[in-house]
Amino acid sequence: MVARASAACFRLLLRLYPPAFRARYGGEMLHALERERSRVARERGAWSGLRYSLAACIDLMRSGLDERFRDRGRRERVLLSGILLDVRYALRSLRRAPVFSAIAIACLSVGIAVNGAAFSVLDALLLRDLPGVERQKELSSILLSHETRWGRTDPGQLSPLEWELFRDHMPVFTRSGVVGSSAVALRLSGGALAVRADFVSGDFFAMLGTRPAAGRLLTAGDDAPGAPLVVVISHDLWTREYQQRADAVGRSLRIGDVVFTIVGVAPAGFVGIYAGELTADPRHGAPWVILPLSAAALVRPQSRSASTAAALDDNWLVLVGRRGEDVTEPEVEAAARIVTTAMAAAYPAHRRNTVAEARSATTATSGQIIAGFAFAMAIPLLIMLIVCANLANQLLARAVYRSREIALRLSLGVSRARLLRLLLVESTLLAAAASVVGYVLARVLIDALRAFALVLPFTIPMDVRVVLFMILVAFATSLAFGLVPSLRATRLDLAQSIRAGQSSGGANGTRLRAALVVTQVAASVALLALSGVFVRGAQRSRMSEDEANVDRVLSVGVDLDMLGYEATAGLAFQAMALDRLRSLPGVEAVAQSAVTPDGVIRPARVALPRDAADHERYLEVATVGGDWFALRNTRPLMGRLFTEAEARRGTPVAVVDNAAAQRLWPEQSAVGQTLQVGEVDNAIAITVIGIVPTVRDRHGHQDNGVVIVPASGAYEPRAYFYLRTRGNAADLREAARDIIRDLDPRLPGADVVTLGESLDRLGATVALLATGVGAMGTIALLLAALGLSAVLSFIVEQRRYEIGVRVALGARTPEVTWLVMRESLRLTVIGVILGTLVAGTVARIMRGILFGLPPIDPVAFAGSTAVILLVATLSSAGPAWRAANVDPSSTLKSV
Amino acid sequence: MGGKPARKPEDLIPLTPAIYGILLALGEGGSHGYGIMQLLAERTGRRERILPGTLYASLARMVDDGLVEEREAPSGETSGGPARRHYRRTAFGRAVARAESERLQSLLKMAIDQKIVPGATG
Repeated sequence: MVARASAACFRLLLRLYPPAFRARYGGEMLHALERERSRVARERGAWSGLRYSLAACIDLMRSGLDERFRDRGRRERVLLSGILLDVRYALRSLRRAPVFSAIAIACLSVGIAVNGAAFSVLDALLLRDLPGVERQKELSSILLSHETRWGRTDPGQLSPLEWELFRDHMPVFTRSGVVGSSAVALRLSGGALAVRADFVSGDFFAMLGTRPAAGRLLTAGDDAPGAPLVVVISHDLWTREYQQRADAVGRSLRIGDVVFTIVGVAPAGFVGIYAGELTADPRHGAPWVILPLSAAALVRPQSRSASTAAALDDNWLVLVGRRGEDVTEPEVEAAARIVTTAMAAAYPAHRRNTVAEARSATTATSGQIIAGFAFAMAIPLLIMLIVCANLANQLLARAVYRSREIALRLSLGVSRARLLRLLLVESTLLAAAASVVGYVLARVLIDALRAFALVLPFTIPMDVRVVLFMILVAFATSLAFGLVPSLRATRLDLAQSIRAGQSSGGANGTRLRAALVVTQVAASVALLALSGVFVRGAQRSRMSEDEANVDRVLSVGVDLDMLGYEATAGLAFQAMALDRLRSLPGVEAVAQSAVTPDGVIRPARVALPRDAADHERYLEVATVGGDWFALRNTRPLMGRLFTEAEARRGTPVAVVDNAAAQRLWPEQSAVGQTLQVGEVDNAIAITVIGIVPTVRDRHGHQDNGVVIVPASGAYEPRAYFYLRTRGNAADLREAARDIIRDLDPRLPGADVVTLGESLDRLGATVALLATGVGAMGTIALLLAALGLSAVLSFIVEQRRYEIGVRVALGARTPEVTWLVMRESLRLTVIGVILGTLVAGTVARIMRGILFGLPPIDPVAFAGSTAVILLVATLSSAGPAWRAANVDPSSTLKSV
Repeated sequence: MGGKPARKPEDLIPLTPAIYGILLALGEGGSHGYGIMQLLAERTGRRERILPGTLYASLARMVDDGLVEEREAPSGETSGGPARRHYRRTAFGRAVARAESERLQSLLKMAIDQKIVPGATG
């Protein structure tokens, strides 16, 4: 890190030399600098290396400016040597106050780094062209939503039938195309792997403006019916499986049971227009293979749907178009609405009330992640605010302490202009040092983010504009609070200042400093309280399950759609898998369901006999087989549960949770009632036989209403097998995986996790946020403590005389101590109140955006308040102790 | 290239410590920039140090003044970095070093006379 920073400094300072000199000696100089620095660091330790870098930088600055102004006039050279003198003096005075300098540089650089890193990530995800996409600003995507009696549905993707209508009727686009993502089984040398595949229409790559890394990309010819089966592979896959060899093109690649020929390689980092969920899961990250849309029917069973209704329901395509010259987004929307009118005519039964919406195709990942990020941005800014408040405070204190020195210089005949220049140079040096450290820190932070939190297939370039902006902010702060008080100081009454040793900053100064401390306390309370909310949010997802149960239940996810199993074969496979899993040692109960381990239950239409014909109501309907209730430790609140035998026979019974019972039959008992489950034409009438406690969903919500019905022999290709073991479920992981592999080696490795792991995974994003916000809150708290301590010391110093008089008049230690503590508590309490208000507001806004956050939590708030009060007390201990030890005789004499 | 023989060595006296150090460090052989830094440090028991900024600025000026000249790098040398220029002291450079040494010697003599430093023995 030091090496990178000093190399950057050397390179920057070389720019001071005239270009001809640089061209001639630059390379050699850099080499010599780097070599010597590393030699010194190696032989005499890192600290000496750092000092060498510093000395070399000053030398470069001096000789560089010398060289540049060698032929200029005398006046410029005098000015220059004056500034160099100032630099030297400023360095000396910063070195004389090492604690101040270190804290100021550390604070500022943290502020710069946090903002630089955060905005760089946002920039890469939101504003920059994605890899392999040209002029992304010109791209628009079209989403469809449907008017229903409950309002408009969320805008979503298109079905293939809808795309056919759009394809030739959008003259506002110069080119358009669709892309759909689906998990497929990729058969590699090491076995099958479930990965994200993108299916694109013929013109898609041409529309994006992508250039291949090898071979060619897909064209309209590849998407035509009857075309040879071809595939474009990702740069990562090319590297991993073919070591970037050119002869990878032309080889065959097996996806599911179909053999494709590789025709080309996508550029490095290519994600289409969607970077995925930023996780390491290959099914949800960047695409591994890109196939023509016409090939979807071969490897994606949903694309084979026979009926129009089913085809219209298969909404999996994103429509993207490149706008023609001067075409605006509203014009795109208008054109799209003409198409939806045609759509209503073509599919009157299903698409009467469709609304098209145009959006810019510039967000690289899901809206939730972006929203989370956008909100997280408030935190770095808050940190910068604290940093600036802190710096301002310290500079103000320093200015007051320095007024004597300044007065002395003035009385010695130094001009005001010269003095101001000196102070300006000092501020600049501070900001410059912080910028260098901040820049390097930001890089480290970005790398860490990429390594631990965001799995992005492309690099995140540093957002130089943000770093520059932060440097500017740092500079402005150090200028405003370093220079302005000094300016005032130069108008001091010299005689009095020199005599008094320090001037009072005046009531105004103290008030300003107190306000700055209150700001800092408020900001750190807000950050700590918010991190508390996140921490509890992460815990919440675990609390919703029976704690003892979660580590004893193993889930084995198998997606038979990847190999296109027919219903009979699929059911046989599932029955065999269930039997074999049951025979594993230590297994107490097994069950099978489409309910995912993190608790996602698909909604289905539920009707009551008294409902009107067109009344629609959707509840979460979980179809389960095996010993579901025993596995989940569920006991009935009323009535009874269905048995495994009933489940196998497909008896038309159901168990509802309390929330569903309340919603469907608010005034009577649910047991014995009948309801219809399924779409109008194939609904099944079922009798409710029992009520179980409310099932909380993965975000802790418990008002959805869940209906549990027997699997009843219907084929569900995406199934999860659940095993409940006597011991630790994780021990059976490999054995379970082997069973699935034995049954069909062509299937990608089964997704085997314990319920506990799955819940942890779910809470991971929130936990990460909690850690991040918590870390920042701690930094903020430390900064606030420093600021508070500085203000109190200052107040004690100012009131030394008053305290001396009090002590002389008989005030005892506790009274004097209380004098200081009272001040500290006053500032802290105001800060806490303000911070609580801020955090409350932010948490409320965030709850609307990040689902699953618990409401504002009294425990989190009380905790952060307690921490702040403790820190405030500790940081006022020093000043209070000093106050209590004021020696009245010397204090009174000195005035 | 080439010095400016019209000038007398005395015209350049006194030398900056950096230029004087470089002239002495180069000796009768020759070296590249980084080598000069090492030689100077070694031959003065690490008391003298020259930093790259000053070194290269001084070398540029010394080439202009004819104190040193650039020459071909010895064949077979690998630097592990960018191509390096080699420097050799010119006859004029030697004369200037001699003039500066004489000037310093007269000063040193005063110091010895005042017993500030012990006199050089043989």
